[in-house]
Amino acid sequence: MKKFLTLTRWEYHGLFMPLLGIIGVMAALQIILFRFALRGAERHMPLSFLLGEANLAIVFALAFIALLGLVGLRLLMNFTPSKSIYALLTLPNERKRVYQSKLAAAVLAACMLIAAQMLLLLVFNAMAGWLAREAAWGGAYINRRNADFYLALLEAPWLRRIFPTTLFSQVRVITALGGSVCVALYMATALKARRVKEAIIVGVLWLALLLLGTGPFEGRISGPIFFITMVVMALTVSKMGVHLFETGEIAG
Amino acid sequence: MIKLGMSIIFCIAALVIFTLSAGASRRDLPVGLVQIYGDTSGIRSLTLEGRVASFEGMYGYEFHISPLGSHTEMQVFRSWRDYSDFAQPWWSSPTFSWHPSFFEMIFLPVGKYEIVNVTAAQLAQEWNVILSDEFAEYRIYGEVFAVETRMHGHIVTTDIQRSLRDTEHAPQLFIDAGEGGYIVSHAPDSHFRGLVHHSDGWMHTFTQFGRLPLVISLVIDDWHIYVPTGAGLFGETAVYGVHLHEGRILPVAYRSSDNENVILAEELIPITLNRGEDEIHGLLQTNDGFLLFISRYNSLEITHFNMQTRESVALTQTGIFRILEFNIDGDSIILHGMETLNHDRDTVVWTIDLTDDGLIMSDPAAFRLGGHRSADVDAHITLLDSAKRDGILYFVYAVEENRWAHPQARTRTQISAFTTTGQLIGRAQVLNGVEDDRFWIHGAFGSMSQPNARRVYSITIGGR
Repeated sequence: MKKFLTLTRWEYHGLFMPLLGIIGVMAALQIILFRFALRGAERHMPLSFLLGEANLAIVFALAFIALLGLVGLRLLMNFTPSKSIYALLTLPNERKRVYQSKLAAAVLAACMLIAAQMLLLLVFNAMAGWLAREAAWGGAYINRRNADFYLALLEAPWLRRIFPTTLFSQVRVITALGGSVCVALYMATALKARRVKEAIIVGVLWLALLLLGTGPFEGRISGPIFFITMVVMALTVSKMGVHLFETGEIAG
Repeated sequence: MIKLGMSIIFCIAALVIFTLSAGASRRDLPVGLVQIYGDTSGIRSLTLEGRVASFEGMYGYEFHISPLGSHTEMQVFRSWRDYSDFAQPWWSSPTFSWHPSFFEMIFLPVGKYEIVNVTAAQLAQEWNVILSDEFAEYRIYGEVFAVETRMHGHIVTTDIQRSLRDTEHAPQLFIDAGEGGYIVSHAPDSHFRGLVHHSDGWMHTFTQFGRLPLVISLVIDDWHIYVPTGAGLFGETAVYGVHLHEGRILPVAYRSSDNENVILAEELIPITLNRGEDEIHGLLQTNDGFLLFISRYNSLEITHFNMQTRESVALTQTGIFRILEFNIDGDSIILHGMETLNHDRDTVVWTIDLTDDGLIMSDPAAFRLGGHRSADVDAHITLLDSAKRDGILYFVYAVEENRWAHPQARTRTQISAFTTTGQLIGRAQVLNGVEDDRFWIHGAFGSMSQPNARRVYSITIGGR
């Protein structure tokens, strides 16, 4: 366990600064977009509408995609320029721990991104509150309620995707985000093991699954089937990634 | 290890702060909050009294109700639990034991939510209104022209006008008195004329569209339907208003069988119409009688018929062909919009005062609400409600931005307050009614294609 933690810490250390960069860019972009949305907003607009107007969901999606890219890039950097992969594979440790530590670090990085998004939402709520407090138009004072934040969580479609209100939906979202990290890591591993075709197939399948389950085609397959398929696929690709490490294929 | 540990602490802290904020925000929800998804610019009033909600709609295209079908656009987002404990903190809620999941406790610490598709049947069921099986089987096709959902005890009335384009289906009136509802169908192509409510009952009128016979439906106490009869009431007769008098139902304005005269009340005072040119387009009940609106060639004629003195006074305004909406409040008649002979429409509001000297019309276009009714300009304005209090005129109107001119077009509701001379006192948005000196408003944001949730606020206009 201690070795696993050490490996995870080392992996996370490598991810940390770029992750902060992604979070910083995401925060800056979202704040700028939200400011623009506030500028053109009616004074009484609900927070959910303002969040939708600002297109914050796109920024979050881009940040998450960047994170997935970072996870893959981090693995590729073990080969070039550092060649550290050979040291990792020769450590007095099970090789699968190396892969698992990368996965754990990547999942923690995803949690950091989501946590940052949570706090940003509180910032946006405060910004909208300041706007409402100044609202005095035609002699009428708009009383904005604190409940707006809670209502936004229920009303804004993209927030309901990230923070859904039912247990099953929450598990499904966690699985989708975590599964995406698993797939991204496996794809990078498979590419280095010269299994390009497998990497592409897994990527396409996962994308199709996401589109079917959460994207524009949501509802085409039932929730439980979608969830089970995601779990099976995430576990399978993780197992496949571990296998590539254990057999040493990753090192060519 | 520090980075790893700090990151884990950061994630946990963010989750805790976020959850506490959401919970605190949740507890600030007003009791009885009902949110309506879909475009609500047509909702004229929304009242909440304990567990009873009533919606009064105005424009049918915004209400698509299909109790059994899949196309349901009007929804109420409500708590699983009663509204009575809506604002209770979760730890003091007696119903918190209701199956909360771990994640619900984290993110939504006060219970589970569901989206309820609101149909009249479901609404009634939710609020303990007895329904008949007939209601459950009721299906509505086409556009709903008007919705009247009133719940007083065990009474639900829903009035539906099917799409005028859909000639296969006739307007229907659904009545449910709690003991078995029934549906009254009317002739195909018939045209919905309006609703008249009385304190001791409920009345509904239809008139024809084209040359089909008149039908009047009336519901009072024992919930039967009456078809009033009277002189001239046969064949191609059209009734524009009815009046309750000593238990009798009197047609007070109707078109005679020769189709050229309008008869007012029992006195049979004829007003001559020119066939093919003149048109009655409205009748308004006043305290002492009725106002009849007749579009004549390039002019608008408004006749005030006093039921007590049996006298009629006419006012003619040239240049105006038709008034688009009108409303009455006290002694003032609020007129909105005008259409000239070449169908140029403008959104002006003006008033007519009923005085001993007759009808006094304010300067047309005295009260500018902004916008325009034409399709090629920025916004359409529809007067929803109006009121006169302490010499101040309040106009409630929907502003629908032109979707062609503005890709992000929105529909909103506004209120403007004017002095009687037309001076603008103030303007605020999203108002939806007046109650106890407070304006109850609901938001009307978002385009029709991308409906957003509405919410109820209350604001107080300065000086009131």
